[in-house]
Amino acid sequence: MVPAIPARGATPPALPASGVSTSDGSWSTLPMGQPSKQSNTFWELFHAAPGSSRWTLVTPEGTADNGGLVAGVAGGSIAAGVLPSALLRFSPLSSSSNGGDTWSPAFLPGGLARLPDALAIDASGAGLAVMQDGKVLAASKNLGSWAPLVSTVALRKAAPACAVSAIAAVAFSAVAAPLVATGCARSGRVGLFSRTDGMWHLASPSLRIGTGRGATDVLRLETSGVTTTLLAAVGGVGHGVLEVAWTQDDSGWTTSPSLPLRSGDSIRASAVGADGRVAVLVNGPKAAPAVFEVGPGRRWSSLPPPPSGVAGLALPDDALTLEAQPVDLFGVHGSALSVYELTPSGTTWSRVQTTQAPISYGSSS
Amino acid sequence: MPGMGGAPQNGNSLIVSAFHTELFHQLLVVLLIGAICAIAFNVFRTVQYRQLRAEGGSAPIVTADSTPEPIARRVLRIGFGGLWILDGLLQLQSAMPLGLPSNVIQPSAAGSPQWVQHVVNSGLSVWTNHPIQAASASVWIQLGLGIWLIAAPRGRWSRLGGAASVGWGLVVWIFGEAFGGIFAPGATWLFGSPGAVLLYCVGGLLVALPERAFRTPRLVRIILTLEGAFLIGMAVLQAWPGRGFWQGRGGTLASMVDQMSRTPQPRFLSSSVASFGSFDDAHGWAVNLFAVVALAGIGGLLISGRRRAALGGIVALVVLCLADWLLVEDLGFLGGVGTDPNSMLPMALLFVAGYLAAFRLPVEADAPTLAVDETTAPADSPTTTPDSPPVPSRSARPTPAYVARALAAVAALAIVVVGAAPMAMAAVNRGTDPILSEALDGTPNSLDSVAPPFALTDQHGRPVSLQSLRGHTVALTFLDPVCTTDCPLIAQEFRQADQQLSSQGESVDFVAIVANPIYRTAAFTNAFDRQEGLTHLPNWYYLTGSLQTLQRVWDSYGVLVNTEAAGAMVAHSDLAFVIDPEGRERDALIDDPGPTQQYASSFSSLLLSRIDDVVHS
Repeated sequence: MVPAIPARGATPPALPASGVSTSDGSWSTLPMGQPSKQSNTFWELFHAAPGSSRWTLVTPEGTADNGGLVAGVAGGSIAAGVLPSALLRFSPLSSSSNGGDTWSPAFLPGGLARLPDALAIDASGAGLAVMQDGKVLAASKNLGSWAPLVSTVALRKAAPACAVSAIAAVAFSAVAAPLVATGCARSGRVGLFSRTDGMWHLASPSLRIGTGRGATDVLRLETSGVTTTLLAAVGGVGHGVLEVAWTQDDSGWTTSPSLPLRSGDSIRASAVGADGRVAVLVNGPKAAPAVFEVGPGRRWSSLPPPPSGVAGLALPDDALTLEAQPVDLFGVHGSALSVYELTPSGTTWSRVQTTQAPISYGSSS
Repeated sequence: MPGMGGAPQNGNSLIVSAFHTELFHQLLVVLLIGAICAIAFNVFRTVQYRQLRAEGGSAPIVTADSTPEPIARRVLRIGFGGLWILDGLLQLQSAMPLGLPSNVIQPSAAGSPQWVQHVVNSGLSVWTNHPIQAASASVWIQLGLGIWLIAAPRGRWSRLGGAASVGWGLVVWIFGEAFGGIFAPGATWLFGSPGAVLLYCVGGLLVALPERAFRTPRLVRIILTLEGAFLIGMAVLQAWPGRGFWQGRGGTLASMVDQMSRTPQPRFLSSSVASFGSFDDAHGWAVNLFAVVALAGIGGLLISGRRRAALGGIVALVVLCLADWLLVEDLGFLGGVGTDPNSMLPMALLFVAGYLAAFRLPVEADAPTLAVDETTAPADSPTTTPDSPPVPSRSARPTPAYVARALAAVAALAIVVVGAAPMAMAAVNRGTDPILSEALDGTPNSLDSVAPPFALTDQHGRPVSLQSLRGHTVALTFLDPVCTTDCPLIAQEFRQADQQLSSQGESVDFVAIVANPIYRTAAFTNAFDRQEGLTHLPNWYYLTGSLQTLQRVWDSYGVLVNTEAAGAMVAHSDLAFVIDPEGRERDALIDDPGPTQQYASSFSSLLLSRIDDVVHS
């Protein structure tokens, strides 16, 4: 039987742009080209070296990434996975340990799930991947050989108190143990799982967010240094709240205040900084996009209205001053990227960089 | 290269040339049919002349038929015969083979319910898979039907012509007009609902009726009443609120007219339609009110059954039809890929015939229809039976005119068969004509040179070289295992060709060489094989090797492989080669799969034919 061929140009659910920073650099994935047409939407990966304010295009070559691009970062290493699109059913992987200057291909047996944190690596070269079929695969070394780690069904059985809806993200903890985040249908619970003695269990049974507001869903899960950061939507994106939880060295958790979302709001992009800060770009059905930022021990702050065309953001660190820098916004107009930073007054955004991505329009048609 | 493929233009020279060639060949057959009929006619005249001489030279006596053909029937027969001929001639347009599906059929079906589109697509695939046969068949079927209706005025042959007209008309109405758009949301009499060809069917049905039906007052009155009721129904549809016809600018009619005025056509037509569109923009409510009142009023006049009222209604309807034909339907056939003059001419024809049937009963005619030998013609010859058309009795001698018409009808039937036979064959042939692939990618280059050698590793890690495949015919191509568009389609073409080879497949190998300098390990070729369902094919080899080795093979076969930046897939030549058992390249083909499944399927047919040539050479 001839495999079913999906309609060309069919638009899958939107994948939010994502950014992640470590002390060894910052990375951001975002869609460019013609967002109205998937075959002309190309996902690009940008990198900023520590201490540099310039972003460089480092998208791995060799395959079309119209379906989306996700990245797992550990220190100075990165693994990038291409989401299946058009007639391709599995996800080519690439890894780099030199800031994206050169890439090595890696094979993943299947398609990555459409999640910003569907891929994670640790400093030793081990990997985790959330697959489209609801399973998590693990690779022990160099992303070379993948084996099943856990499935949605298994996690559902492991923690009835959560009532797992779906696997949402993977990460390695500060001690390089696999973490799997899921949505929880049970109000206030956070579906974050770790493994002890071969058994999966809730990593933080006492952690509660948005209590009383309904089901929870994990949008981001990142570990940088000793800090693990979890961004969750409570009550569902579009009519709930956002909250962030942090843990240092896998000890106790702290949570942020709630950020209320307006009806119909969607998270278009999010970024996690090396120090655990989180920034989100919220799109409303009617209202103008808005950018919010929060960090450990701080409240959510609303940043000035972003310029038009903003599609992604990042929270770079300045390695020279060891200070957290303000949010970088990425404005996309076709194949042109503009980087915006807040002016010293903090009231407006100013363009600090423009660059062109050599997009091959029509190459995926 | 991926992303470079596009559909051939309607005027693609290869397709047009093949269409003309097919028409020319069929014309020769038609001329042969004409010649045979002419010879038969002369033989008949000669035989008749000798018989007369042998019987003493008595001249045939022309008898007058007391029951001439009803004028309404004659109007229908000649009118719809002429329309079929016009439609057949319009099918001669060069753009028809490739243009009809995209320019006519698909727009007709757009907006109709899913099941209508499903039905239409099932018929459409016959045309898109076999555009040359389908387009040329339409020419001859329609010309044949037209000639048949006109040439055979009476009797079973004539009625059979009417029935054939109904049959083909239904095919065109369903598959070509998507049921005349009656299931689409904007159905309106003004734009041709319920479909021009459905009116042809009604005309054909009336011609297929026994002639006595035209002499039955009750029946013709029913026909007239049905026509009146139809118009009133169309008026109700036109008046129905919420369908956008009461609205001016942006309304349903204004939008349709605006779209029609943009069709490429003579300037006087586009300006006429555009002027009416502007008028409707400004006075949409009044225009619709006029249409509703006119349709309902004319319908009422016809239903009244009074001759003067009906005559007034018919005159008004003809004027309305002509105005609509010019201002709304833009005459239907002078712009775009016009296939018929749209609905207003057949509409007027049907209604005029209905009026004539109701109020112009046939008069005694003096038209000679049959000559009989008075010495042998029996008194109760069927020629004098009122309900039956004149058919010569065994002892009667038909007139030359009768024989000429009968032969013309036979010739017309033969012309229909000239078109219908290849159309039927196309309908049962599920493959796609290779010419589509050739139109897209060019004709294969015949070669006769030693194929460049290669020594690589297959998807199972086994070494495979061209030398090791010696003795087998090899179909070779270059595929990117992580390609998102063309390569999976090309792999499916190879798979299709492999499956169609059946027993010959044992002596044919299908080989792909990796065309990606980055993702080129066996893990990727295996994943590609699983994705495309190729793992169970014993004669499928997906080869890879070191980048240096691959580069050498790419270069030796003239395959360009370029890594593109910024998230684009690797660009590579879509090339295929057929290598004979002695290791000589015999054909080089471009295997760009094209924009639709038809083109991909067409390539597998083309590849199969080239492999077949090599295997049997």
